[in-house]
Amino acid sequence: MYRVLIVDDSSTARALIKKSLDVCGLVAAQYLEARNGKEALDILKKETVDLVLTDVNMPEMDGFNLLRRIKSSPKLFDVPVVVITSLKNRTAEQILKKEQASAVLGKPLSIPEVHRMLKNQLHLI
Amino acid sequence: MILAQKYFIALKEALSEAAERLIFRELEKVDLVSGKDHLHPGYYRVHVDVIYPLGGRLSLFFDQDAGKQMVTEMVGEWIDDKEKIKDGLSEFANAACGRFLARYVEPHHHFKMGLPRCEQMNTAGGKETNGKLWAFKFDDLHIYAAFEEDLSR
Repeated sequence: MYRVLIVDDSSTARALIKKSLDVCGLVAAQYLEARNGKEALDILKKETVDLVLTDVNMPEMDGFNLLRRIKSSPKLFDVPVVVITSLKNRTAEQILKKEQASAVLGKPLSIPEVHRMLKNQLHLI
Repeated sequence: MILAQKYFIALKEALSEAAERLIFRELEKVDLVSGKDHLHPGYYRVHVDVIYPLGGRLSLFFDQDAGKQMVTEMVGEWIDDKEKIKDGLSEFANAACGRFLARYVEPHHHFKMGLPRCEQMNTAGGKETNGKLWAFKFDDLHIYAAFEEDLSR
């Protein structure tokens, strides 16, 4: 069973992300949820996850900082981090990829994009 | 702040995309209306500040039933809790504002916006958006919207 950490300050956004993952075939997954980067790091200290999906624009600690912290940690470096943001354009995608985001998805989510991301990150067909 | 007509096309496309993806509804028509006649106490108002590269504020307004209906359709279950409705409308506004800026700003520029803030209005809307706003009709749902440019920035 895959363990997925969803990081977004909006409970609606977290629900929409879960629903999209379900629709794309990630049925038997365990979801962990955090409202910001700080809460996500607290969870990652204790739990092992296969994938992190994070928003960018969040209070306390934003998605950029969370991504940097994960990628600079010897323990967490290998965990794929997918950024889901309403701020997506070509420039934002380049910046996030430079920070080692595994993929960048735009809000509102598109099902084909989520499907492609799952195929690439978790090798789901 | 002034109601910025020049952003209308980008705003219309952004709201259409957000509505199609989040509530599976298509835009039927848009009218320019008076806030005084259409915004009433109790309506939900969501503001998203645009910080870079232009200064301004996107405001979306929903009557109470429309707000409830929108969030119910977004998450696929009946939602009656006001805090959940505010959260859902904020997420809608967040997505719409991002799509609006992505259309308006050149692809090689980055853009920045604030966190959405949703509240219920205490007074009627005559003072909102300099009196005018756009009414976007999605079947039986209306979303009232304005982008006000902050020329002092």
